[in-house]
Amino acid sequence: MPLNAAFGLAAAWCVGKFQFVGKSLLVTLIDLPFSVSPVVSGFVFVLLFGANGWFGRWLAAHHVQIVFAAPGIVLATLFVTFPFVARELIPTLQAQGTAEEEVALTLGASGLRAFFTVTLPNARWALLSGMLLANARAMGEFGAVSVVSGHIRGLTNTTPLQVEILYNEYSIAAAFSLASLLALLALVTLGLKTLLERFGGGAPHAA
Amino acid sequence: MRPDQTAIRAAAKAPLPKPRGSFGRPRAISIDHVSKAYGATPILESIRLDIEPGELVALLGPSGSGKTTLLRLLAGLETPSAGVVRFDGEDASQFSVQERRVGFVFQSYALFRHMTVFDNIAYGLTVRPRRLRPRREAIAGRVAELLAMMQLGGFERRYPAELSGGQRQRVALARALAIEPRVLLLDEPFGALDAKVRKDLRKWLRDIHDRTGLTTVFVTHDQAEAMEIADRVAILNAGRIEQIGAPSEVRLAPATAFVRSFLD
Repeated sequence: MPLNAAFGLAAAWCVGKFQFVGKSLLVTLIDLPFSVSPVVSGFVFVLLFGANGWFGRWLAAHHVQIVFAAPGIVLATLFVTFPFVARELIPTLQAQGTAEEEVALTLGASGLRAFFTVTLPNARWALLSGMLLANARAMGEFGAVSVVSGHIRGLTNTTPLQVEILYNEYSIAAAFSLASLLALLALVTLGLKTLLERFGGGAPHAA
Repeated sequence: MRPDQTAIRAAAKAPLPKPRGSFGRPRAISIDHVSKAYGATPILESIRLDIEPGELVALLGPSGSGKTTLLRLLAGLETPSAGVVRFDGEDASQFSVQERRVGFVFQSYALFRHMTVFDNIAYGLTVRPRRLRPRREAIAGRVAELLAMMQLGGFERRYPAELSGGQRQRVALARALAIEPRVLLLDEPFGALDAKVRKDLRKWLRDIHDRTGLTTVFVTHDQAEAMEIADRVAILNAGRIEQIGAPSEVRLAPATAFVRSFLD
C-alpha cells in the first residue's frame, strides 16, 4: 500500500502539475489496469516471472521465487490497484493549479520542500481516499492473484481465494461467512471514505 | 600556492564592471531586448525597459498583451527565449527563482490554504536552511511587525478561507515582504476585488511602497489604477511596448494610436 501511494503520487504529480510530451500516453498507461482483465494481467506476470518466463531462468538462478509465492501476489495486487491513487489525485492536483507552489519557490523553498510543505498537505485527503479505495480493491482482488498465487493452502492463499476453495468443497457455511467478512470489510472501507470526505473535504477550508 | 596564481584567482573573483544607470547606481532592473515565445507563438518581442531603484512601475495593457509573462520572467518563473534580464547590473539568468529574492504576489493571491495567516507569512523565513533561518522568536517578531503594518492584527490564527478578499490580498503582500525582497512584483493586485476596496487599496499600496522604498513592478489592465499610483507606466500591446513614460506624459502625448484609444 505505501508503494502504491508513492507510485500513484509520483504519477499524479507529473500529470497534474506539468505539461510534457507523451503525457496522454502516461495517462493511458495509468488506466491500463482498469481496462485489462485482472486474469490477463496475472497471466502476464506468470509469463514474465514463471519458470519458463522471460526472467524465469535468471530468477531461478538467484533463488528468487515470485510466481506462486508472496511477491507474486504483491506484484499482481500492486498492478491492479495502481490506478486508484493516481486517479483520485490527478483532478485534485490539477484543480489546485501551480500558483501556490510557485509562490513557495519565490519565497525561497526548494522544489522538494515546496512539494512536501504545499502540494502534499493540500492533496492529503485525496491521497488517503485513493489509498482506501486501493486497499478495498486489494482485499477483494481475485483474478490476477488467482493465477499468480497457485492456490497453495496456508502459504499463498488470500481471502477471496479461500472463499472459492471453500465453495468448491461444498463448505457453503464457511464460504459464506468468509464472504460476509469480506463484504463487511468493504463496507467499513466505504464508510471510512465517506467520513473522510465529510471531514476532510471541509477541514482545509473551514478548520 | 605561488603568489602569481593567487593574484590571478583574486582577479577572476573580482566583480566585473557593472553597467550604470543615470544616477551612477546600477539600475534595479534592466530588461534588455527580451523575447519570449511558446513554440511558434511569440508572447513578447524584444522588450526594453529599465527600472530605477525605488521606482513604482505599472505594466499596463489589455489581456493577452504579455504583461503577466513579463512579470513572470522577472521572477524567474519563466526563462526568456532571447535577451537578458539584469538585477542591479547582474545577469539574472545565473540566479534561480529562490536566489532572486523577489516578492511575487499572484492575481489569485495563492495563499497556502492549509496554513494559518501566521504560517503563511512566516513561510519564507521557516523554509530557509537552518544556518540562515532566524530564531523562532525573531520570526514571530517579524510576522507581528508585518501584521501591524498590514492592519491585520488579531488575524494570525485564521485560515485564508476565513478572510475577505482585501484581507487575503494584504496577507499575500505581507508574505512577500517577509523575505525582505529586492523587488516587489504584483500581478493584477486588485483584480479580484470590488471597486470600493480597490480604491482604498490603491492609496494604501502607494503608501506601503513609499514606506518600504522597494522597487515595485505591478501588472494591471486598469488604466485609471496605473495612472493614479505609478511613477511610470509601460503600455504593452501584443507583446510589444508601445510607450513608456510618466502618467502625465503618456496622457498628454500618446505615442501611438493604440495608446490613445486604450487610455480613452
